[in-house]
Amino acid sequence: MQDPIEALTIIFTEFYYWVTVALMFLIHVGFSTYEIAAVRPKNMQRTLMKHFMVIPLVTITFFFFGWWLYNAIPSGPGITGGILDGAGETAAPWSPLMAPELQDRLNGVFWAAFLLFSWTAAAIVSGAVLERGRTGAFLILGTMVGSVTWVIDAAWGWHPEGWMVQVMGYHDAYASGVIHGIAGGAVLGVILVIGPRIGKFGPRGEVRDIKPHNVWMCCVGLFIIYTGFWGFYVACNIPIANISTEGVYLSATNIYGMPTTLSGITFNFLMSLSGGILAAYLVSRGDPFWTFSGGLAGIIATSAGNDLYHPLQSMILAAIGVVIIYKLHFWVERRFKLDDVVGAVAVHGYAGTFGVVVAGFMLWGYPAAAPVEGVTAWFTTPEGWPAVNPLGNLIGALIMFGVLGFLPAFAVAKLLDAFGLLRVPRAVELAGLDAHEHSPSYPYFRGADVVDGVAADERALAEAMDGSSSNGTGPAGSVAREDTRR
Amino acid sequence: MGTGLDSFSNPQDIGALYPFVGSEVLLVVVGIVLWLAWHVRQIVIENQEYRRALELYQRVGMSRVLQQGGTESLADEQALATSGSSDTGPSAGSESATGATASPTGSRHSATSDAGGPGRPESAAH
Repeated sequence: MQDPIEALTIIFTEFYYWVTVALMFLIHVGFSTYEIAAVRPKNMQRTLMKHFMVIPLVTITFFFFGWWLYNAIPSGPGITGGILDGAGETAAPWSPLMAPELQDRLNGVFWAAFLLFSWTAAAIVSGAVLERGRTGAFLILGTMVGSVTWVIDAAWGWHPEGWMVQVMGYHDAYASGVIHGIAGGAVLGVILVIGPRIGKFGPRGEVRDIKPHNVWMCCVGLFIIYTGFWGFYVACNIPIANISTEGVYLSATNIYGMPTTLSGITFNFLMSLSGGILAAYLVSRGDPFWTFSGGLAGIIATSAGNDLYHPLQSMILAAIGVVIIYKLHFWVERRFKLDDVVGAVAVHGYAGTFGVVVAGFMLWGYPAAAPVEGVTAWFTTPEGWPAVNPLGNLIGALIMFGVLGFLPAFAVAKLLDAFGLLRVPRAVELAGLDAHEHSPSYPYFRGADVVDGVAADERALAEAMDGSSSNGTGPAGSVAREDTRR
Repeated sequence: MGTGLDSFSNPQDIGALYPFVGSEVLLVVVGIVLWLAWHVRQIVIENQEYRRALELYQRVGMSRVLQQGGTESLADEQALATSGSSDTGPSAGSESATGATASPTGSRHSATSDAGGPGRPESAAH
């Protein structure tokens, strides 16, 4: 690079994506923390290893073929064209650009940013097999979603030349459907085959609540996921690009090359997070797990349009989406007896699908991407560019959740099940996945029966409140209005 | 002898920075074979683990596996194998049959000592 401005632009872009990759690691720290906390202690270590081992597997397979898929098949192939020119040169695993190369500074960081999206897609699927799935089965399913199916949907609907963008006007700026819809659909496909955990449903079909073994750690995990999500959002943008069709006007763009600003998405990220949290708190009556999950679901429910929404639109849509997905989760659980341990189908699948569908209405008529020569869109802007529209996003949501999410995962889960490789033996599930091979997760955790002064005081107060003993003095401090009425 | 570059004097003419340029396809083939072999080996290891676990649980009896403290109250595999050989039947699930108790202090050690086997040292067991 000999031109200083060009060099600064490229090196800034290189560093920009590199930082997003580091930030997105936090998504997986959060996922690990949250899932380990959500399971019972007898399953913790296997849950951790299952989640952790999919990371290197998706990494190497995304190197072998994932990145090439994204670059090669936006046109279908066979829908709006063939294999894209230059895909092999950029992304074939034997290409010099897939290695340290002095004339290229961007391919590696682009690859890594997409890889971290892939980890996220795979990680979401791990929720499907918690406490009863074989590690090997999940590693196959996670690799399939992380390095194949989500990459296909990204090529089709998350690429400026993707056929869904060019023909249908599909718009999904921060991956409501592209990541979350497909992963939620895959979770649904797997849990339909694997079945519920032992004891989840009673003899009359009643739903039993198998609680997280550590609620606060679940919530901390979700908090860490929020933090990593900043990297996710920023990585979905191109930091500097010329967006003018005549002359030069430099701006950040979304992944389709359409203008947005980091400032704008910062508004919307925070407002949708807040809308989701506030709604989830009310609808779940302050349940910590669902309140924190509601924040995540709020972001996901608006991500498709968070490049362009007004912050208050984001907040309101997030709140509506969260109420819907919360109700839907429990209705599906009761009606169809599906054991979705961490609510992954709801938080990712339903919220992502909601986000895509709503964006089609909210952004109706906006340019989806610069047109590709020879491709005719269903709906166009006055300038002839493919236009965002409700039908395109509705069908797009179905493709993400159903065609690329649910169906492949269901089919592969069925195949694994046919070989007896999907679910652990019942005795192992009863004893716990960690029980035989690993030492106890909390070897010295035997404090439940400890009686100290605090416990004695609490017990005495409880007995007094029950009327089984009288203790003349009440606890020190102010008295709640409810207590004065007793 | 050199494996790649021997000068950085003309950076505009330099492309690949890694050694052994030309070996990329071979590296990819080796990588894919290793990846697939890893999956196969992982599944074999996991199947072996479950087989061992089921043999152990059958010997001990599931109800005892699920007693207070769960599997923490079980002796380690080696000790159980020793005690299992003196059991009167395959359903040696009662505490007296194995000589172990589900005491709050943990019967892993008592089972080991009762069985008279060496067992694993505590550091390995935990």
